[in-house]
Amino acid sequence: MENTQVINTKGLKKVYRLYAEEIAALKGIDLSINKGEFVSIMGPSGAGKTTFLNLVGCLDHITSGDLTVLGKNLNSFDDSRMRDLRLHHLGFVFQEFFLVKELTALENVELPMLFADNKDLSWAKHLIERVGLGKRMNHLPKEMSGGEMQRVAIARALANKPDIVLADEPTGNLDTKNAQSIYDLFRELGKEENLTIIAATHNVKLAYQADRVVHLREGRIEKDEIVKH
Amino acid sequence: MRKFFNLAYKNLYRRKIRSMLTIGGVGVAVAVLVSLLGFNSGYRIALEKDVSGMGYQVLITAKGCPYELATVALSGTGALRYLTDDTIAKVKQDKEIAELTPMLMNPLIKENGNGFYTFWGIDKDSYTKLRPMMQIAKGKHKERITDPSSGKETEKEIDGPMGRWFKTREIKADEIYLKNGKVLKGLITGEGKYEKVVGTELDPVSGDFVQKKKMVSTVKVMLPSRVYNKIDVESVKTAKIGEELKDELYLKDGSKITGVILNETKDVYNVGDVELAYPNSEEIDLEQVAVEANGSPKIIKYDKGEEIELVMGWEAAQTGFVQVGQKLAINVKEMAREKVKEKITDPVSGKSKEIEKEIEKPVSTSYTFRVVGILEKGGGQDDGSYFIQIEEAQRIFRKYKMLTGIGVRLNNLAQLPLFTDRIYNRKELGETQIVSLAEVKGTILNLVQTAKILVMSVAFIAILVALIGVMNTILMSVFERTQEIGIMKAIGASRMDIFKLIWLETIVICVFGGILGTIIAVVGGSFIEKLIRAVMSRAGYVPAGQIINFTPGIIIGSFVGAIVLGILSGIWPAYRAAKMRPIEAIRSGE
Repeated sequence: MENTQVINTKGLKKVYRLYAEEIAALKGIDLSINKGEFVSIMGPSGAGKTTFLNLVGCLDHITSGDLTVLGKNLNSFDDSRMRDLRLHHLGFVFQEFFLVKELTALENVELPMLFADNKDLSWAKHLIERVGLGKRMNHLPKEMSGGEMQRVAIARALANKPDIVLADEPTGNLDTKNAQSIYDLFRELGKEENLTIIAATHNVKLAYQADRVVHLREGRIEKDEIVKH
Repeated sequence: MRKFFNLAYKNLYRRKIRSMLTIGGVGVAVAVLVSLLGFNSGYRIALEKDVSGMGYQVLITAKGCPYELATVALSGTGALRYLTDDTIAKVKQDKEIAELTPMLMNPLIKENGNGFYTFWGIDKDSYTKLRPMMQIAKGKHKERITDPSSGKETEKEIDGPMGRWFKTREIKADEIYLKNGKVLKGLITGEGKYEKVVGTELDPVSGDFVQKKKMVSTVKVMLPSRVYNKIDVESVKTAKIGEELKDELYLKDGSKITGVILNETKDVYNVGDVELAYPNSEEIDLEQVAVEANGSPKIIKYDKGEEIELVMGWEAAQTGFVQVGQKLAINVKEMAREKVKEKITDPVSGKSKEIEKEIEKPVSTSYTFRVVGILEKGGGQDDGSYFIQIEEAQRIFRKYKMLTGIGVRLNNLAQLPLFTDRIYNRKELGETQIVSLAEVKGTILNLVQTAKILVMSVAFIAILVALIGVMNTILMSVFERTQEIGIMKAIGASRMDIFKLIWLETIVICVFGGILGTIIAVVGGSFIEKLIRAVMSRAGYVPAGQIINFTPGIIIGSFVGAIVLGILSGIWPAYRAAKMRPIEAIRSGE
């Protein structure tokens, strides 16, 4: 299973149309990512990091080129098939955590399982304990710190046992110490669950904790380097 | 689904005040709907009960008399018109009559002016035959027993019938024997005095002729009388009819009138004791009246001062805390005619003179009865009524030989149109009107129907407002939660999941609103009933029974209606939410 390609792009392009203007966010990306890889995407604002994650994460349709995720060519996928892929194979972590405010930590983790019609909710409890919040599972987001909320968000991303976790600036709202512990958690979980993790970040120090760092600039890959630990 | 429900509930709980207001709005709309439906069903039932409770199919009244008897009670005695009791015999001749019963309704204004005592003079035997539901109540109750020797009252607890119907007594007319051998039969209502011109006399002082006047005592009597113009009369004879001496007037049109001439002027005969005449109050000079051996006028009154036996409707007895066996005094306000003298000044001559005028003036009167029975609760207007023997009623209420109606059961109701035609074609029954109770019901139901359409449109508007309110609340909450919905979609919620979630919220609102509205309607029902009663009684007829009736069907129906309202009002907001594209929704919050 090692070295199996989970993501493969060829000439991937994304053009947004803003009124009469066309903005090319990605101008041709050729990239393949293997199963179990932890990849950091780096680049200045507007480089296309988020666009890339959205396309890989089946949240948006590509403009041209080829995008294959888990062996499935997304070019021909409609919204409903993309949603199925998101639900069962992809996990998301956002900079702003985006927990549902009126649900407890545990309920937030259970939410994707609910959408997947997954009856066995014990996995959610296990995940909460795994991210170190066993004692806080019945707390509401407003009762938790930023670091804790992001841990809940990570547990939620893993709820339906995905193959790929996509994280868009997951530490952008956290202090250095919490940011580091989130990256530690990513690395550990990546190994435990054999996850492919793609995380966009500005933080050079954190980025290089990944196995591989892909630099984007103006919609193209500037540099793709393997990190030697 | 349970989790979804939980989530929907939590979302609503987060916006407590807004959710509560929306629920309140739905609640009011549902309460309006439930009350209206309850009223519609209740009114119909109460009306059916009132009408079928009458026991007769046809009511014969005097022409122009308000035929719904309850209307009379509400619009006052002024509207009443009377039949004379010889109508009974005339109507009875018709072959289609199976049973009939004469009735005299007499509403008495309570002394405090606050409503009426509705008295019914009835003929017990024919009345109970036509209306077998009029039964003496049964059960544990207290009665008052009067010891005949000491006159002392004791209270006794009895388990059984609450008394009995009144005993029918023979009540004869009062008789006034005249010097000319004739006898007047009627109801003596009092005595009077007036100045009678007995001739002219030469005044020795002034040398003028002056009128010679004399105070004359009279006896006031109510009897059927009629005035005949002398030009219409061919001849007058006195003849012995049976035992009695009567005057016979042969009219030019060939008819013969039998009666007693009370007085005669240059132009007219005033004839008393005539058939088919309306009872009038007449004053008979005592001079005309025969004298007994002891010198007193020969007048026989059949009023022996006996106690009048009264049977009361259930409600009347309950509200008055009346017990069987007790004496009951009823204080009422009556309009009495009184002669007053008024001085007027002639504007031309400046001379003033006195004229006599009759005025109507309210006086307090008291009637005393012995309560002999209490009737079973029937749910109709009878519950609040008082029943005495019809002759008794005619006597004490001074409605001598008068009826307000004759209840009739026909052999075959299908023959009603033919029966009506026959009655209307009989000249001697020209003063009658026939009212079929189906007709009454139809008239009232039509009125109610018209009102219902109006009220239903109000309810429709209330529901529409509630619908828009719910839709607005949910739509606002959808827009507020755009980002959250985007996240849910990103983590795998389908369009259907989001649709269900938002939809459930509206349904939760409407279910709570439905519960609230039903509670408001049921708890406030008696208040609304009072309100409707007050409003409607001003307009006319209100059935006596409960007019708002909440059946399980209405409550379940309105509840289902509230849910349907939720389903309908949720579609659009839920669709809007479901349609959102995840990345755009997420980005909207940034």
